[in-house]
Amino acid sequence: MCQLKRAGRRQAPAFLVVTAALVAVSPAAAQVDIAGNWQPRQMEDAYYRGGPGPRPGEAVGLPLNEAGTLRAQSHDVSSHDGAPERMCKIYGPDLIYSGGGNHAQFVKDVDPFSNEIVAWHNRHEFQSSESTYWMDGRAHPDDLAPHTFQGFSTGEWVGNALRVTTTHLKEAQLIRNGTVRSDKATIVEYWIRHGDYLTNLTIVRDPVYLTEPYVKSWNFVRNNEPDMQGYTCRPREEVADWVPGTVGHYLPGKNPFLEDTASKTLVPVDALGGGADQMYPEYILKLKNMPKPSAKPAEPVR
Amino acid sequence: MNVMARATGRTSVIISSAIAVMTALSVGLAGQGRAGQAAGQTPRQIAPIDLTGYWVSLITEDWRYRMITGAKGDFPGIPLNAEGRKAGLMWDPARDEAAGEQCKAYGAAAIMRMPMRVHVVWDSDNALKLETDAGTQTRVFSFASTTATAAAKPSWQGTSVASWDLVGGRGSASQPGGGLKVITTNMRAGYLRRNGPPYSANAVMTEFFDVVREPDGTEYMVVTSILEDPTYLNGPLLSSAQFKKLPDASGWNQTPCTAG
Repeated sequence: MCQLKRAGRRQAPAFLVVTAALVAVSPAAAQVDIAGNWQPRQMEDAYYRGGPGPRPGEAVGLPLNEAGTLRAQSHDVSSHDGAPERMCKIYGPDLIYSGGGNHAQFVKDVDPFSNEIVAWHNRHEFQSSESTYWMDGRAHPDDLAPHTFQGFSTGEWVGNALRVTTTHLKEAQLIRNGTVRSDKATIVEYWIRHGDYLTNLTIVRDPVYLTEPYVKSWNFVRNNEPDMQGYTCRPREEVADWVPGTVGHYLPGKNPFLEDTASKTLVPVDALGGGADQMYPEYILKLKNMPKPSAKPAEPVR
Repeated sequence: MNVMARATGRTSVIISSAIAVMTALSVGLAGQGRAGQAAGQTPRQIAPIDLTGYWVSLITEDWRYRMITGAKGDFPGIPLNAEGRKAGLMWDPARDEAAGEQCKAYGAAAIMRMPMRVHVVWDSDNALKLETDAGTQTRVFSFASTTATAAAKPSWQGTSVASWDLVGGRGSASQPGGGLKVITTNMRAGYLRRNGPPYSANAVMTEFFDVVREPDGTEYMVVTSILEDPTYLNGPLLSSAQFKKLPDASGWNQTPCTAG
């Protein structure tokens, strides 16, 4: 018995060797170098992104619940966003590439001894903000930790994609007309590089304002120019009759711009407020049964 | 042989086995090389992602131009040159319908942004087939470039040459990941959207099909497209469309092309 125990102890190193060997050869996901500057191409959703932005009350294709639609359509863009304290409000990671000429600059932190990538820093030209993707396996902080506009992000490689999970966000816009997601949202991003092209797939989950994940994508092209422009938003008063301390809004059903939005976008008023069913092809049949808006198309945008 | 000797012998065997396992796995992975393809393996066998099955498009972008037909001349985001804009303003859906050209917005350069379901299957070990319910179109992505590029009559879906765009493979322990790269030529001239922005028969489209799997099991496919058209575009048109995987064919509803 005693000899057997000693034999067992002698086998321990062998088991360690086996374990180490298997760990050493267990497949790791492919990593791709995404360091450098990437310029977004705002060719899809050009109205929403680089262009003038969605019209008041327009939230088509967004899986909003009733509260999300109500919030979107009660938003008074000029008096709310025009207030000095909100004029320079930062976009979250799910909207940050909507700014004109907004580069993404990826910089990596490397452990000098192991050469492992500890973190990716995704620096945004627009609003000079930054997201840090921790790659060292650390956990997300507890629920009481502070929330920020870029949140807390961890990353891991899955296949050919860098998957980034972000929590601890502040409430922020989903699109540029006051349609929001809450500070309880979680954002998952996949960064996928194919040569000089970089694709970002963004999935937003929000228990407060969304009924389904909101999935969208962004496209980037490699840019060898190393510099990014600074961001110089300076709060100032732009609304002539703005009263300090007020929060601009429309009461439910009182947004005076919905008819105008419908006639300029050719989207029926009843469809402007979004909803998960709008993301799917079958919604075309519903649209056909809705009263068509009186067409008053806006000036075409090239 | 006493117990000690047997134990020592087993230790040696285990260490030897571990080295053998490590060597075998290393060789197996390294043998795939950067391209991940061992000699004699078919594209189907080395596929880094599974594109097969039913997928539904998630129309969360360009909704105004995909779910409804935009106004004539409203072409935001498309880098049309002067000729392209001029051609776009000539759009006449009634004329297209009368001429039997109602599939002009369902060609390869536009079809992936249609609201629709797609069904992907392996047509052979060397070709993937993608069918659409909207417009009832079929695209074939052939990995056998010599046959795929053979002269063929231009068609709405053109001729597509496929390859796996693999990454990783550094060191023996790295598992290659990747997506599908498809280059399509030989297309009939068509529309980039339902309201008439054109692409010509000279257009060349490069696409990347990638699949991601969420921790809850949901799978998304994102199709990144780069369209180059010296006739009607000032520069490449870059976009990406996303799809969600479906468990079955529910909702599959093949419909013919319609103009406008």
